[in-house]
Amino acid sequence: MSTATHAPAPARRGFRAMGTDVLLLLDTSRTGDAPDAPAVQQAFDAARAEVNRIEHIASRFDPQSELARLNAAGEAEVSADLLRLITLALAMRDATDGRFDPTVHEAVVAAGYDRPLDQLPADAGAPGPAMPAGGHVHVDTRTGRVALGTGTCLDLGGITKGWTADRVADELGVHGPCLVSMGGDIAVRGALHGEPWPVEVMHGDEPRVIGLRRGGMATSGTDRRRWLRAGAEMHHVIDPVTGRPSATDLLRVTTVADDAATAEAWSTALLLAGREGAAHEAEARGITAILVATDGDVTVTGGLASAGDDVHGEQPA
Amino acid sequence: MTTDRSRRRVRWTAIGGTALVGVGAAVAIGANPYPHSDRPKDAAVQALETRESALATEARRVNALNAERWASYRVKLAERTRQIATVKAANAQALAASAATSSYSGGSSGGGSYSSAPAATYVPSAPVASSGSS
Repeated sequence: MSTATHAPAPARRGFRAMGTDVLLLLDTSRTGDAPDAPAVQQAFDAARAEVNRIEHIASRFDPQSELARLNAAGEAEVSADLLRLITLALAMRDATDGRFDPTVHEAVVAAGYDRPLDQLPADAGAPGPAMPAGGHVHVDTRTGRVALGTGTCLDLGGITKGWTADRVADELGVHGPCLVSMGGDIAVRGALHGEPWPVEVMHGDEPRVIGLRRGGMATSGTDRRRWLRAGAEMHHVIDPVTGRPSATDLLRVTTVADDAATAEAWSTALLLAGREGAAHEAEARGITAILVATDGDVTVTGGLASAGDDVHGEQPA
Repeated sequence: MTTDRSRRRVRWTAIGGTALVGVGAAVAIGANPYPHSDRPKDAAVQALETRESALATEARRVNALNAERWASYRVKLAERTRQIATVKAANAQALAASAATSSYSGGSSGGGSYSSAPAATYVPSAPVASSGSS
């Protein structure tokens, strides 16, 4: 671990996009480039442009986005990127037995999350009626044509940030080992000075550092993106079955997977499964996860459970 | 007999005369007694010819520029491909080295084995990023 301590810090770029904080880290130790070298800055510029490009495709708040136009029309021939995103989201719906579902759009809107979070009113009237998901989506991968069932609209917010982190990491990784964080949905490529990328996650109230060696990590929780409706607190994690903000007994779930998009979808699916269901399913599927319950209890599964607490208490101050 | 010979002469005379007139006409047309240069050109035709000439020049220029840019692109692509291969090889090497050093586990059978490294472990390092509810 000593190499990481004495090696130069990776070049970094932070900015806002997709309603969250984006962080790009690039290990330039192999190329020898200074963090402000033109090649590094150009790589960051290209990464930022890619984030903005995907946001313009998949945002549900931008009426000109490709997704918004598909939702409005109900049927359209979509770009290759949106097609891949929709296909992946539907595949994850199948894999998670419908707990992750991109057709929760109407339920999210009914709950009051109908505009960017920073533009939501402090409080508003009662939420709309419950809108269970499970909408029909027909995708023709040969022609790129997507047709939505009656009353079905797509919200890809549950997977787009992770997917974007993967795409940007693929591009940035050409320049060297990198980490891309889209508001905490993280993808890494290569190793930081030969070591895993140290990423902080909350174990209940206690911060712990996890070395992410490859793939992606994501956290879903009901502790962020909250707002008021008729005095009642709402959050963005919708239960597709009830069509309402989930009443799960888990506060936060962090998962590690081969890519950030998969990690993001599974973190939502496990969150909705509840403490016991999530622990059982994560163990059965071999998913590495940290499950933080609303009472502060923490359950660790998969690779992290077998890693044990050998470094417990050695966190830097 | 006399009548037959006379008729034959008339027929040959007519054929010869017709051939003579035909040859004469061909020579006259071939001589082109009214060359185009002598006629004033239509302004629209002249403008079209000028435009055609300009377009041909422009097309040659664009083709040359295109060829030059393709050549430049191919050189840059080759260089970029080489850079990507170098970085990928270095990353793979670093990843393999990292996995080998951190995932060694001495099994109870006494042999010990190198397994594929888990994607995540707890580490005592200072974090460079954090994963919270997104």
